[in-house]
Amino acid sequence: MTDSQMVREIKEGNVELYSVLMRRYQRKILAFVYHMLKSSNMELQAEDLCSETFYKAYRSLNTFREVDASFSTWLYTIARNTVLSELRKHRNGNIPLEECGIVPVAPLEVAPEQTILRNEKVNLVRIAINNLPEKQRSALILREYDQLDYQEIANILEQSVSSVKSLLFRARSSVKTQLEPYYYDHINDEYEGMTSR
Amino acid sequence: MKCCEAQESFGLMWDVPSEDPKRRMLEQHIATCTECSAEFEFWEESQCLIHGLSVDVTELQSESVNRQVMDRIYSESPWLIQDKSQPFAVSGATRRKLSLWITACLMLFCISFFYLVMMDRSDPPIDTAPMNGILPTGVAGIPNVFPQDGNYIIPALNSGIIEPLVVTMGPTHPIYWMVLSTLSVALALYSLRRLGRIRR
Repeated sequence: MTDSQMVREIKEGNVELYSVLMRRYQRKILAFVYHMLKSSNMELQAEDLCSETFYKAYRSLNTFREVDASFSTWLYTIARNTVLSELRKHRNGNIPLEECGIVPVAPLEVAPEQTILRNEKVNLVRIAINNLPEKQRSALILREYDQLDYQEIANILEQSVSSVKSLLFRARSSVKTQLEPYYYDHINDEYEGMTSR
Repeated sequence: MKCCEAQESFGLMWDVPSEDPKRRMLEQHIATCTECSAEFEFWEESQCLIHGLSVDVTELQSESVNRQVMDRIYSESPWLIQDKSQPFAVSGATRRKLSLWITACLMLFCISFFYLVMMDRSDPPIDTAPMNGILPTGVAGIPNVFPQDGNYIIPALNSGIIEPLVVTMGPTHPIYWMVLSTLSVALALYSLRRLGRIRR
């Protein structure tokens, strides 16, 4: 059964089918919400916001028009708007990892030094992505983590395909620039390690 | 390919299929140019770090979202909950047949009711004089005490086999029939509604 057939049945009152429809997208949408929130250290709210997204979608099912967008694109748009409105509420709250209850844990066999370096690296990337303008961040997450193509991203962000290309280029370039000090430190550390041997 | 041209393409290189001629040209250039190769390493490292943040959502997490949403929908609209505890499952064909039967019975009831109210004027009501006042006492053995209609007639003692006493039940237009039929109409309507709500 296609998405549109399912939507039609749900509109006619077969609500139980919505659970089946959700199962097709729940992992993708949850991953998207998770990545959008992760850069702001708010990933603990991912499940709540994901369920809010699906609930909103159910409530607005009558406004869904297949000719305008596919169901997945429509869902991603709702998810993005839901996350953005939540992020706006916490605009200035750059919560440290410890406060949001997440302390990255490394495997037991990993040395403490490596754990610290790893956490530092994760934080640097997180901050770099969080510093991106909202559209660049969304485009990057949709492309890198959700593996959507340019056209789908363009539909979700309501941009042209060429704008999406440009957004992605600028986002990757900006992340690279922000992470450059880390590479240099890394190279220097490696160089010092080699000379001390 | 020139260096500036190559460096402008680094940012989108991962989105281009590996067999694309543009990508091949770029890879060839990176293999030959040390400056671009060094620059490209930064890009690659950056991509690796971005992918390092990737998380895999577990089935358990996504299923919990599903449950949350369905619970919320059902708590706000409890009438949407389907009654799964019903002891018998009604198939689509049976449901249709049942609906047809109930509708036919309803039609029959409506038509006969309409006929009764509007059409049936054949027998005008018979005027019967009310029996009241003081009735004279019947005396056994005197058959000519109450020769009138409507009263008991005590048979003569010498009449042979005594006829059994037949008691006629009244009233002539029983109200309980109407009550029963009204109840069945209500039941029929209720059944139709329930049948309509059962998932197709």
